[in-house]
Amino acid sequence: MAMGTVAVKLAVQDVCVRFGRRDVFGSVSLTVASGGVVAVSGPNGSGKSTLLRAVCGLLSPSGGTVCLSVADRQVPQHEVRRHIGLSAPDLGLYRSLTASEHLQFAAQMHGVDGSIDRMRDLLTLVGLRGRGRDAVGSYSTGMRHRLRYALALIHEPALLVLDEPTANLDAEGATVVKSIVERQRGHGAVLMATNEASETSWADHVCVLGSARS
Amino acid sequence: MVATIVVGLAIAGPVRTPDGVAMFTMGGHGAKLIFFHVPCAWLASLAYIVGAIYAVRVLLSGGKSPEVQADLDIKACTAMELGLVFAFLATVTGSIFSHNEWLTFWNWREPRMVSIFVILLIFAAYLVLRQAVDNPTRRARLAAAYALVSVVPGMFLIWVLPRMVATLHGDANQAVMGNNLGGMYRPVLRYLALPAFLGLFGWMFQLGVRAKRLAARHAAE
Amino acid sequence: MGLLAGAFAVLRKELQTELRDRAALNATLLFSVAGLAIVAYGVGPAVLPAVVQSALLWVVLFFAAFSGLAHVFTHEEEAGTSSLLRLTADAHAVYLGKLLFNLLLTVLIALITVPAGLVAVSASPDRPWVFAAVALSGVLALATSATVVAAIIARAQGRGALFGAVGLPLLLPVLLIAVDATKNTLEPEMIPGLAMREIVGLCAFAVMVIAASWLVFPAVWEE
Repeated sequence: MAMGTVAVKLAVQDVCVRFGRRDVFGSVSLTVASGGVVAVSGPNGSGKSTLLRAVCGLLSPSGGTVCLSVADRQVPQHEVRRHIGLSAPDLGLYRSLTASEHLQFAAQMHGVDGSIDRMRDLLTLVGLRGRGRDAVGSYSTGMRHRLRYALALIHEPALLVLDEPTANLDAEGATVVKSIVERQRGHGAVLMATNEASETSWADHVCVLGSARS
Repeated sequence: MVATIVVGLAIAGPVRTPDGVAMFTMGGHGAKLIFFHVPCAWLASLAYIVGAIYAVRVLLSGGKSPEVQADLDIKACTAMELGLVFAFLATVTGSIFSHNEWLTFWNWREPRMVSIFVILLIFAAYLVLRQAVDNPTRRARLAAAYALVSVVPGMFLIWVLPRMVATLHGDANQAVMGNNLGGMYRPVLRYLALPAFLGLFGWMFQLGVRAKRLAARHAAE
Repeated sequence: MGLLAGAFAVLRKELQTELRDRAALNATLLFSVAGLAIVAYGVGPAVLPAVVQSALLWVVLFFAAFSGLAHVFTHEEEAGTSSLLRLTADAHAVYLGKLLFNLLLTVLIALITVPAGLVAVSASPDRPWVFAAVALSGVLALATSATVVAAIIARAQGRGALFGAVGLPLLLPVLLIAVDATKNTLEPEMIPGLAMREIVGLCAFAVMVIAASWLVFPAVWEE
């Protein structure tokens, strides 16, 4: 799949998230631009995943702004999902649907090519070739994580957001992720949350979140 | 001070009105319940309208700061709480009045009774829904959405249902709507009770909003 | 991509998941059968006035439908799939798709409950088509209101009890009108044209609820 480069810029400014009376994190700022890979790290409970969810619009920050621009145009809130692909371990999948059905559904919703060939290419890319017709309920944790990558990539998003990129993946899976990240560099940008030294080494810039405060 | 004047007006009016009126079969002191019942029903409707307006503003304030939204949410919630109180009072007083006049506490075929009961349930459901959501911004949005959707049955109860039921039951029940009150009742209701209870509503609304703001500030610290 | 295409994609996804993992669907259908059995047993050989027949029919239909209509949104939250759906689909496509699914489900429940219910209370409508039209418009109003309430309560705690508590006030006017209209169609001499007003009223209710839901749904669904 040949992909052109998209000018993308994510600007997170002074974002803070509060759950009830507890600050998950206060005032985080970072920028990710085309060709860049930025990693967010920090101890458990420092709010890495929460920050990524705020970037994806799955959670509204208690303060600050998240601004995504694609091709020098600011993306309105309800269109953010079209330009972002998220893979996170807690992203639930439909147990009774097969991998192909997941991909077809996503392709239909994003309005992109959902042909059998393309599905097969994506499944091959993430190493699930031949398992596309099995229900996700029968998948192992690692296989599900691979499917999340296929789903995140289906609409060729400008920004790829990865939470714990290689969680539950074997060595071969980690290599696949690395190649996906490198490929995305040429297409758009990557924002990931991780504490693995091997993964932070892919990044041009590492943003460290503080410890949990109460 | 304001409170004293308001309550004074609300009580003075009814006391100085003559007992009983031609249209009421029973008459006597019992009929004076109407000075309490009718304003309560008004305030319940008013609270519903005020709550719905703030609910719209909560939903429109999505892009603004969370503080603005939270404050609008406080106002919507206060209006709904007052609505629950006044709808309850209107239901109870109406039921007693109905027993005095027609020897029955409740009639499911009387559109006004059904309306006030459903509106009472909607206020209660709104507040129950709020208790079931922890996240304050999500609570504000879900409660506002519910308040707005519930406007549909509200409108139905006020405009559509009475007409449908009326086709089956004639207009024998229309007297209870207060169109043909006799004697001093109408002027006292309109010129004393209405402003007095409106004042009461405004005062209680202010109090409720201030108390909630304080509670919110306290929780944040 | 067109909104309707998206809505049908969501509907197809709902049908696929519900038909493969039939537990929820079967539970709902069994619940309606059980409700019917209780009514049939309670009524016995008694001859009931039309108003009681109508009330019993709608009570069974309401509870059967209510037991199943929240699932369309709660299953997403319970299985943790709602984030995926939020990232994938447009809010209005989700609303329409799920509304369509609930409409189909309610019609299915009504197809089982209503004819069997008529037998259980030994009622025979004078004009079956008018009766069917009343039932269908009631079902429309029921499904549309239940869907938006399901969307709201799916994001709160204590969903099961909350659905009934929060949904019922919205549905009470529907129930009142539907019971009245059905009663008229079950009377021995039905007054011609009387049910028309109620049918229009119930359909208007459904349309207004859809309009209101359409406006508030993005605020309910998205963060």
